Amino acid sequence: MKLRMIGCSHHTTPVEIREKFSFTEQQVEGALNLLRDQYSDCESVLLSTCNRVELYVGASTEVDLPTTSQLIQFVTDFHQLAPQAYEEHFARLDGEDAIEHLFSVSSSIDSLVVGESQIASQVHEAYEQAVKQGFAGPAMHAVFQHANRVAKRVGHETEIHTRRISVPSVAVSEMARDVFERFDDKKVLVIGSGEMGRETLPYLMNEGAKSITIVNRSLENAQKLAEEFGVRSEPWDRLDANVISADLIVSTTGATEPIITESRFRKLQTARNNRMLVILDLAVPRDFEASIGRLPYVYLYSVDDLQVVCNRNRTFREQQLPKAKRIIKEEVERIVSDWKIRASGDTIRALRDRAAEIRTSELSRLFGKQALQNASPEVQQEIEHAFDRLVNKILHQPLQSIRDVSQNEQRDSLVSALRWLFKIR
Amino acid sequence: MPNATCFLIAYSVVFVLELARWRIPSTGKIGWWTRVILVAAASVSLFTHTLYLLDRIFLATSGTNSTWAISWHDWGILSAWTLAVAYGWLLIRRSENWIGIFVLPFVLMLVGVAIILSPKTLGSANSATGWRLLHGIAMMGGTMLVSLGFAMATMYFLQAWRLKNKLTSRSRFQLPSLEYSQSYGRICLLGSAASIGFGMVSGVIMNLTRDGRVEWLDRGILFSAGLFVWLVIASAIQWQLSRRGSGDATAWMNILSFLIVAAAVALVLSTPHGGNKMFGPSDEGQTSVNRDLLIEASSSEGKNP
Repeated sequence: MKLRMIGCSHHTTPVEIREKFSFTEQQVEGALNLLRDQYSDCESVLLSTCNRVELYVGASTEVDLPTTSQLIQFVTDFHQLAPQAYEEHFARLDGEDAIEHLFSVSSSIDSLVVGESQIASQVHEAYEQAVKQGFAGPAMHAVFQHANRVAKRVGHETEIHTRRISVPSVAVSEMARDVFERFDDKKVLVIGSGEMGRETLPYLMNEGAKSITIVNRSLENAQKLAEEFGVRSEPWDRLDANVISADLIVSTTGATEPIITESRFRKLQTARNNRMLVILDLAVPRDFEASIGRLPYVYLYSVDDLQVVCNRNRTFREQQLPKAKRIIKEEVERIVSDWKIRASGDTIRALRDRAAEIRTSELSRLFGKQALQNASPEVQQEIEHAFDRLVNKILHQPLQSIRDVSQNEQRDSLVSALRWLFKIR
Repeated sequence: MPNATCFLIAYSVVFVLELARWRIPSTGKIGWWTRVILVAAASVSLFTHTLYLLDRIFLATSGTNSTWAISWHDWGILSAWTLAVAYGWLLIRRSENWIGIFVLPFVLMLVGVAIILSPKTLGSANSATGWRLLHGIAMMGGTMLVSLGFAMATMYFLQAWRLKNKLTSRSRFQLPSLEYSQSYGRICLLGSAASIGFGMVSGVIMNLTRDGRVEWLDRGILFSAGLFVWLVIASAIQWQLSRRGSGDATAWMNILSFLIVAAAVALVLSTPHGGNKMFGPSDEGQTSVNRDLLIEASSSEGKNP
């Protein structure tokens, strides 16, 4: 089985170029249909995400497979771009290299953010789409199903997915989780309705937070965000009251000065009866004066504090790379070895079929002769057995040789020689 | 039948495994296998411990139909067993947390002390009635809860320190959340007050039904009563301070309670309540409540009367 891949990713191609080659779901189907029209015996899967566009093609023989230049030509033509101008941005991989790359992609070790969990499902979805539309065949089934297993193995045997690396996720799922056991009975206050607030809300809800209030200078924006997530919004003048009742504060405003100074907070904290409070100050410049974090029972984290954790977690994930690569290498060897064993099995079967064919035709020619037409069934059976033994003895040694070398490099040349000598396609 | 050294070694292995988690990844296949091995080792330890305890119970009840002959050794073994059960429960419920290193030292210490103490019962004289047994179990339960509360308080302060220093615990040294340590610390504190209170009441009833009087001025009784009063006050203080927002109140009360229990046990053991004399129906009239209180209190500290 043969496999080939062309594609561009965040490693070598800037986003301005990548976006020119990206495919929508509808475009994927159209493109693969077009590819099948041009190369009918070729299987294909097209993976298009925000960080990569990759086209995988497979076939049982090399001749059925389009060349990398033809594939680049195809992609550029589809997007009505000149191939010469973009050729350099495309990676070209064949055989084991293409398989290894696919396994690396699905295991997320090739991702911009190592260990991100989305890519495995994106690879699976691309394969599913190809299966559904009939673009995938034995080669694609084998590599993409194996890629799925490799991603799971890497996930289980390494800690590549364990540490969170985005500021909102670290803020909620690590810092706040270290203080609170549960969030469904906590009052959460989100100050500001900016992008960071929007990104943090799903994590809060995912942790089970039920009582979330958004306070923003513009009530309209707060209401819009609150409606989007099904939470409450309150006007800016209710800020102090909400700080007093909150257990967890996420602050994300664009204010140029701290909105809560230490002196203001001290008064609020007295009104709060010094209850434990977690403040995730995700705003730059900061919304809470840093000295507030020194007060008892207040756990204040700024973006920088959280970024330190993110970086540490990122480094930790990257430390898992050698182990993940080792797993991928093992899996590539396994799938290639399986393919080779299967290929030698096909050759052996074809050779036996050819020999059986010759035996049958020679026997019918022999039994058609006058002298043997009246031979007793015992004699006929003896002749058939003699032919069987002859065929088996002739084939035994070459077939044994193939089996013996099925795990090493000689196998390919031996199988090719056999196919060539006996004219097996 | 296993002997106490057997499960002391088993618990030591569990403790070493807990310590080894510092260097072993907490997630992935390795983390999963570590937890499986840890649970298996803890189960084996607890199983052998339980077998030994059942054997001791069989021995204690084999003398007469209505009395139990219990030694200091037995109280030590039973105390360690209750803490080991608590550890096993925490290990299953929160296997990702490093709770074992805070609880297992108590288990090891109690088993170690029990080994030092003679397993021989104090003859037929050391018999106990139903009330005495209830009294002993309640006092021992209270002491164990105070020890568990101390472990929770230690975890609380360690976690609070880490959070103040912006150190996330999603590492190999994971501790329970502040809220968890605080709420279980509170349960331990209230539970220990209730248990010691019940122990006091059952001790009084035991004395009244047997002797018709209680020697209130016995130092052992006074220290035990002082301990109970302290636990009630500590529970009230932590409740009041928690309402006012002091998150550390429960943890401080747990630490103080542990220190006071340790001191009370030491003081009780220094009195005649410590049971320097053999117990028996013939001399129970003198200091029976005192001696009983001492049995359970000292069982956690392991002093031989």
